[in-house]
Amino acid sequence: MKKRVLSLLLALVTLFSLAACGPGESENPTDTTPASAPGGENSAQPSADEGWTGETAHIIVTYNTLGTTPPDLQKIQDAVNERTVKEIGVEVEFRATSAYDAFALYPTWIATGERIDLMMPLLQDLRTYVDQGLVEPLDDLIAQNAPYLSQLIEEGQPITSNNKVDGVTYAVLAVPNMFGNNGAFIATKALVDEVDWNYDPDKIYTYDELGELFALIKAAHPEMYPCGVVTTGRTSSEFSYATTTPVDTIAGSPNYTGVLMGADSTEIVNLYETAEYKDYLEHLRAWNQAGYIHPDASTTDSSVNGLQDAGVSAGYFMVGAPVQAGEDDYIINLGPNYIASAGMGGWVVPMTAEEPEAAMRFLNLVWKDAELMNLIQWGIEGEHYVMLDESIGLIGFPDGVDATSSPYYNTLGLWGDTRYGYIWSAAVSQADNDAYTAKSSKLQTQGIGISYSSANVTNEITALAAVAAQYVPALESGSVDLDTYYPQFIQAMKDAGIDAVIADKQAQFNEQHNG
Amino acid sequence: MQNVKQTKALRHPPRKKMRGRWKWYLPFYLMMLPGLLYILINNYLPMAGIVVAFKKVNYRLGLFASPWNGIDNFKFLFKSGSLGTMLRNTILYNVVFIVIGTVLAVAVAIMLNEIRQKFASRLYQTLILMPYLMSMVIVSYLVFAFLSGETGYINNSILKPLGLQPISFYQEQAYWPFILVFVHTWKNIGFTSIVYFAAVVGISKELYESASVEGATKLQQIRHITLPSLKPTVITMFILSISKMFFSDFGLFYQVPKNSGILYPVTQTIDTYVYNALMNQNNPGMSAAAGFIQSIAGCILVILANALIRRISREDAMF
Repeated sequence: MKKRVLSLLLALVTLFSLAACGPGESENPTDTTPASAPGGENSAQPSADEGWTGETAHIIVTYNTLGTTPPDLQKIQDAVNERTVKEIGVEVEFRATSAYDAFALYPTWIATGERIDLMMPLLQDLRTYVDQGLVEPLDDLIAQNAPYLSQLIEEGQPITSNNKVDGVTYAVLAVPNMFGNNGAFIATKALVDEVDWNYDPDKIYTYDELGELFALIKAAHPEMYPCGVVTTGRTSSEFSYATTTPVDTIAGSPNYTGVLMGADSTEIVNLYETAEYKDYLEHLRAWNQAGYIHPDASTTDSSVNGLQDAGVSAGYFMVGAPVQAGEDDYIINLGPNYIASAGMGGWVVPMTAEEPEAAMRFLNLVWKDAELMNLIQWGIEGEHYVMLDESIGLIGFPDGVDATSSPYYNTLGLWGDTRYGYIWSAAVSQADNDAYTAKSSKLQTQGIGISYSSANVTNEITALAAVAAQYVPALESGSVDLDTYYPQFIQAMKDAGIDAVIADKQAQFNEQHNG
Repeated sequence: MQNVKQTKALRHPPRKKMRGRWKWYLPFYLMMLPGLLYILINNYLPMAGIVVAFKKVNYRLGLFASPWNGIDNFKFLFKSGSLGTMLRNTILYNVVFIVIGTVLAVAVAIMLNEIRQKFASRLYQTLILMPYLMSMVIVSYLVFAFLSGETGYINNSILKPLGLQPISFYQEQAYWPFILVFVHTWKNIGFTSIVYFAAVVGISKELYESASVEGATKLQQIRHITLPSLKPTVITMFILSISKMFFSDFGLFYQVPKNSGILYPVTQTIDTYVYNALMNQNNPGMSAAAGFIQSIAGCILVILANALIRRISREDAMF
């Protein structure tokens, strides 16, 4: 369980940690709201004309953590309530849950009738929730209670567009501060510089060139395993982190259900059978045999970040977005920037909610009011963070406090409009994010706007999930002989029914793409 | 066995009219009532939930009002084609565990009994019982400390000094049947051998004394006195383990091989497959279907085992 979650966290890093950055001044043309600004100077405005006169509703909201509940959560809850009770008549109660446990807990809670008014099933399959009738449709709720969310949707912010099942909205997502994707290797600056490898941030490198870097680092530090790979508990391919070409799994469906390869492609193919994937595996195998990959890569409990921090590896494969690299890292690009259809997920209203309207008012206010969003996200100014540079919204820890000792530090950015979230590093500004978005926008896959419902092939997908979990960790750590296991893997996928799934997906794609 | 005792105690109920007999039995029924209620509530009531295996669950409608979907929930078990492997692993490992476990545990019990010094005997008992008290998660890390590719004891301290190639244990299927049997035996032998030890201690000393007067050697005593006296205990333990034939020690098969996919052909059991396949799915229908198959197959096995025992030793059979 714990191991599986590590890969969950990796995926999560790409999706959500983006909240950690984003200065106040957005150049996004869709930004027309005066209420949101750095430091939230204008945030008092909505309350001025919207004082709540009705009854106060109590709502229970899930609060995702990475395992430890921040000790000051109650304090934040009180501070939030001080505003929300007055302005929208909502009293919030946060229900802290570890994201590790949420997979099992949330459906059980709803199934057993436990009351939750607002829930964030982080990285879980929204369609399962909808299929089993666990969540409420949101279209009317948003229209009647959340004018600001409606406005964002009209402006084209994808906060609900990825979360429709059969045309009905079921979840609301934080406003992203960046779009796009590209395969990359995040590498420790000091090591790359030490071996005199000519790093060029704009160049797209090949796997062979990357292999040369590994060879140089291995020669200089024989005790190191430069290519940081950890596949423990990996349940599907992480090829997209290292991809040389745009990959679109269609609205976040698992990549063993077929993908589009390349920006122009309209043909659903089995990712695992493509030449690009085979090439990736062959390099991993060669790197493993050359000693560039940790011998326990498929069984260790360490994370790729842990290996890099400990000086065991020189880096790892990850989306090449600005936020992914620390100040001591280079982003070695392996593929072009592109935008693919986004995954599903976000805040849902479970069927056990008692105050769905109040829940919507709360979402509306947090999305609208940057000050409230930053309060939930980063805590109380002066106590949990100090403002370093108000013009770009740069914050830091108060004296004597760090990430581990802070009584309120939660990096899961799941709230509000992340473009107005405070940032912790001047190296990652909203300008960088916008540049990445602009670069990615030039290459968009054919899968954008398409959704996929796997209801017809549930059994095949369950079987495929088991096959992927069986072979992917060994293959993607280069631990086993490809001649023996790769054909076995492909055959096992066929036996599990990959062809039926691809045909089903292709049919749905064709219908929506032409229509 | 309980049945046997009870019928003995009740062999002669007073032969009066039906009403009188009923009165005579009443206290016994009353005594049975709490246990009966417990079994009804705990074991029989939840059985209604078996319908979940045949439904497409929709919580809005409720479990019982959800639409039926025939045997759709069962299909995923057959889709991957690994059902045969799972069944084979689950059953074969259990058979090996039962055979090796019994033989070794009886041997250890007899040896413990031969240790005359009380303190030493107690010390050894405690020492072999220790692994039984450990969590499988801890055991899995002990095993990892031996087998790891980078820091493992076997690779670094045995194979390397001998100039041999390191072995990637977690990627090589051939070793695992032995590793799993070894780990299981090491962990459980302490507990089972104590059960047998208690039986060995209970054998009358006079039997041994008269045997040694007759000039029987130690081995002859063991063969003709100890082993025959242990037979009922062995059979009881056998029946107990047979009933769990279709369930595997999840920790042993999931934690110890570190859920390494390449090892599945020799480590995957029904429990681990269901766990792996459904962890992401939150599908109660499919989980119930897997549990349903497990219970039905387990039930059939118990009946078969009982038939077998009835042939070998009629009075030890359960029904």
